[in-house]
Amino acid sequence: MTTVDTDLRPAEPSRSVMLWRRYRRNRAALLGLGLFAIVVLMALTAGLVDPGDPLRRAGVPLTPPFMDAANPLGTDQLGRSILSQLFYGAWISLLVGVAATLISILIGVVIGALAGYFGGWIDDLLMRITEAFQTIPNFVLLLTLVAILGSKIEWITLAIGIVSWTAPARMVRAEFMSLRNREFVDAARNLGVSDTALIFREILPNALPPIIVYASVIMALAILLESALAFLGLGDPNYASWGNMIGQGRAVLRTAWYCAAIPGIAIVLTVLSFSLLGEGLNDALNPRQKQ
Amino acid sequence: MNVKIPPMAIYALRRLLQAIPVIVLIMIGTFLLLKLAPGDTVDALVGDMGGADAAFIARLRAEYGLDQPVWVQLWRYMAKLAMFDLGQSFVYEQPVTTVLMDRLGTTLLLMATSLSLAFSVGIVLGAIAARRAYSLTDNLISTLGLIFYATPSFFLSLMMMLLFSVKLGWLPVGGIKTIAGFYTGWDHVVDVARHLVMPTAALSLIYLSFYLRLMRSSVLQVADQDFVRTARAKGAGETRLMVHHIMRNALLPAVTLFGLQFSTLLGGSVVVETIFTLPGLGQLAYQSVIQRDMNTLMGIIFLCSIIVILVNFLTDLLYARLDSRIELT
Amino acid sequence: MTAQCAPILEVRDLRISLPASADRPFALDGLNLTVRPGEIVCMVGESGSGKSLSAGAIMRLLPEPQVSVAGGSIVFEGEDILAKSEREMRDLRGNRISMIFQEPMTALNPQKTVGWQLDEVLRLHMNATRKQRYAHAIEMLERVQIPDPASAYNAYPHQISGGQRQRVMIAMALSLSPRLVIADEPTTALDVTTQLQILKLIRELQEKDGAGVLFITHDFGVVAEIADHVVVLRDGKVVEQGEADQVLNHPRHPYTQALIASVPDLAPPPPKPVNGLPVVLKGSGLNKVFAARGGLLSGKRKAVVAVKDLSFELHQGETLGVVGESGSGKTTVSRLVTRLLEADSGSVDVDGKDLLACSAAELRGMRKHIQMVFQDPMASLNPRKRVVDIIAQGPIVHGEDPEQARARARKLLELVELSPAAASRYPHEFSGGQRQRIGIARALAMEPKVIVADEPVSALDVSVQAQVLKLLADLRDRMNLSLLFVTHDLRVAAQLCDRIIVMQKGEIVESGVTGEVFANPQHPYTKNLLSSIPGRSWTPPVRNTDAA
Repeated sequence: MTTVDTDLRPAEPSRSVMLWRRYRRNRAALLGLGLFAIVVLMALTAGLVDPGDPLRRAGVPLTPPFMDAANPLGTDQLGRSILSQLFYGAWISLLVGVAATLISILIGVVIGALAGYFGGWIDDLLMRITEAFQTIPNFVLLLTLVAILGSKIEWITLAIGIVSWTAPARMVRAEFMSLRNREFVDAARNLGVSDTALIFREILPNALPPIIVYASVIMALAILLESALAFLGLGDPNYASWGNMIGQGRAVLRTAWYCAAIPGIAIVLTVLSFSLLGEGLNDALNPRQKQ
Repeated sequence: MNVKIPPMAIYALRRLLQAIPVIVLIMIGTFLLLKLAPGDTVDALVGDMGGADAAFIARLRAEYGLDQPVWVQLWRYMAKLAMFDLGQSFVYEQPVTTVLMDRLGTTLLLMATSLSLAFSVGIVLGAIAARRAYSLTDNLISTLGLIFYATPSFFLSLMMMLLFSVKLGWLPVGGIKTIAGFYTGWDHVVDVARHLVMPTAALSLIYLSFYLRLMRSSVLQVADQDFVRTARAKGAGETRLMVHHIMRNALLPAVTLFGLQFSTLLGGSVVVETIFTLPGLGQLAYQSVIQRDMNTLMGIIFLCSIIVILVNFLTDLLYARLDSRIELT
Repeated sequence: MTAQCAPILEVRDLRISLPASADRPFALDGLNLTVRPGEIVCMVGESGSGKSLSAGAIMRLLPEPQVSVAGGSIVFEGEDILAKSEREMRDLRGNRISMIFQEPMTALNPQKTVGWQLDEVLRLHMNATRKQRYAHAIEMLERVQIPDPASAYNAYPHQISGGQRQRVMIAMALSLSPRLVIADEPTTALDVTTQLQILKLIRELQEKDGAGVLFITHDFGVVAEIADHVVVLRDGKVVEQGEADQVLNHPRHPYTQALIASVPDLAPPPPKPVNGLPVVLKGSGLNKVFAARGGLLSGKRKAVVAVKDLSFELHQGETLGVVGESGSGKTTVSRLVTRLLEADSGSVDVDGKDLLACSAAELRGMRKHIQMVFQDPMASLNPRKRVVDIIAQGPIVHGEDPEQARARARKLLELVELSPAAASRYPHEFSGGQRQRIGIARALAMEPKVIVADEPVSALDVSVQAQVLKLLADLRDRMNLSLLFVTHDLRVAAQLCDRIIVMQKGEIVESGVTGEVFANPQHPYTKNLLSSIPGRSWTPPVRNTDAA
């Protein structure tokens, strides 16, 4: 009965398998995944559900849902099918969400990594810039950028990315600051690894998981921002958008409240799915022994 | 001679000095934004006047200093900003500063009430949820929190309007006061209050969810810490643990979050004010975008930034006061 | 001497169950122990043996419902603990049974003053006025030898040192003269000199009040220092228990014997003749000051002199120990010598060339001559890299063919006694000791002239520690390595190092051949350090170094 140290534990399954196993234990996370899958499905099948332009007149205006077989969810005050707009709106929401998130994370990672790794005056300068962006209320800045750049979908996406990069930047910076002093980084430096390789091959792969989890939060916020813009009538008029539907629905709130309610619920469920997805990923990546 | 300056004052001074580079950066930023905007002051003027010949335009440009090199313009712009001279609004035909000051009160009132409600209720609910973690109460509270977090403010406002104004008729649909009412004194206060119920409720419910979620995770984390175990081992009961040990430590991240998030929250007033037609800064921002009143928009950015910096400053001071680990000297 | 009175605590057949996801069903399976008045019972075991949970069970502070008592009885002063209501337990806690925890840094509420927290336990159980409580608290602070009790009373935990915080914990635990004191590794996080003072303090206070002490530890030296009775735990089961003298000097169970054998004794190795050998590493006049920060724009920090005018020589094949407590500067030395931290002045000659004067390009080439083994097995390996890549990284960076480097890496794994199957795995799949072996393999991959080991075994369990040290000693002898070995543990230094330098506050206070320094310390600090080693008068009986 000795304590032999050199025996190896039995081999574990790969990391992704372990991650999935931990993820699926969480019911809320699975719900998030399910909702997410539904939204993606909606976006991808929009063209199948309604091959034409969702913004064309498809029926009698203000038909309530479940009355007309051609327009299962009814029509709005311009006679446009709510179902089509719902599906195409999913597409826009996801597109803008993903693209804006990518932009904000890209900017955030570059700025955060440089500030966190080098410290000193680089950190001071970049942090002041970050603070300046953080101080201006992001929706007000977004409005201003849209006023300047115009309402085309590309500019809106860019603008949302620009007002959202400060949070990932702070996160990346914090991760880099904590990782840069870890012993494995010192060990790599001791082996003669260069600064660039240290940043990209040693630190960044370890800093990414929390960033990826955070991406879900940014997605959620991006969708909320885009829909708010569309609601105010500042979105791209060429595309169906849930926010736009709610904005239009405001005028007929008294009589045809479903025009605003249906897309509204869609937004809530989509944002919910991203939140649950993100939380589930976070819990799966950092298992704690509670519950 | 040794003058004893209270450490809090030194800390305050330090924070204020640190805020200056940020303000300067924002000033430069708004200037650049102004420059990027299609058309400038003179174009707007000329548009108003219905057109003019080239020579006249050139003279106007010179008069407004728009023919100077960029650096000179920047310097002049920043000097004016420092004096709070925010230029002229072409839509309202008044100095921007005047327009802003008219609207500031409404927004501040809305913000102050929503935030106090959201913070206090959110913290309490979050703590309750954490204490009864994984129970039915917790699931209920957490789910509600999640739903409000995911709901866009405009949607919530519309649904509230639908229910309380349209269907039930309990509350007014919009505006800050009943125009034909001419209420004074206490009646005026009640009237304004009735108009503010829904907008405040809409904003509060959404902000509340942030603090609820944060507080729940903060309390769970603190409850796990060693010093709570020490207190238990001394024979402390649950109430004492909660009040003196757990909350005292778990509140700190909530205060930090408040500071970090205030600027986002201020932006949230834009949509709510617009929907409920409240004459605040938010609605002004929206109208300025529609009407292309760039000067006013820049003024709003500047004023909001100053407010955010001020709130962050006060929050930092509060935090320094609350967290005994911070050495002020 | 142990009193003939009734026992204070009697534990019979205690079983504590763990949740289904744990690696065994019971944290504790059948614990029997008795604590009599005036007696110190030591519970010894490695990590995961269940000792801390038994302490929790006695106080009824287990994290239920996941971990709970599944059977057995706990009788305190004739009353059944398990049958009491929560209210009755609250009356007992801090009053008749109290506990001292391990980590003084985190065991006190950072937002309340020391005095408030001392007062809390008095308020909860004592029926006295505020003035009386204050007087009592100050008296306790004096008894635990806190200098200037009145200002300590008003201080916050972060304003006093680790040792003082632990004294405050002891003051809190003993202020109401409890009958039973449970101390859960109270000195593990402290420096050796502080540790001895705290041990003495616990013993004194206990003798005065006649309390019984249940002392949990993993350190046999501490057991030798203070125990009357010993209970040895392994994986939740008691493998041996009895009188201290019996268990320490005549252990019966093989596990106990192996544990005791793992404790390095204080007999140093025979001195190696070094005078003819070349000097492979020479530090001259090294200085490092962590600069003060202050002024209007950023937070204040006092200047800290980490290393002051340090000079030493390391000969080929020699092991030089750098010994000191926390704050002595020994870790800084290891970082300066490998140029992971820039020195303010001085030089480090590796095989004749000054490392600190090298340009960036030259530095890269020089790096392969001096490699490091780090302290924290959890943090010293990149979690996202396979083991083979971690070991082969150095040679590949210096131009070796990747396939060849990886093949060599696999051979190195065998050298450090790990199966080649380990090569394709990730760090988290290994234990602490195994990760340290991988760290050693990584350092060896570069075929360096000097290896700097920064506390390589202090984070490991004692039995694992012994195996890793044996590995290091073997490798060193076989490959004629030159080692700069930084440690705070004098037993380890005695076992492995030919010569040692003793550091205090950044300066060398004494140096020489290990045997001579231990037998005949000159400097008062060295004397103090050596006399603070717990159980120094005890010689572990079984000289069995074969733990395989």
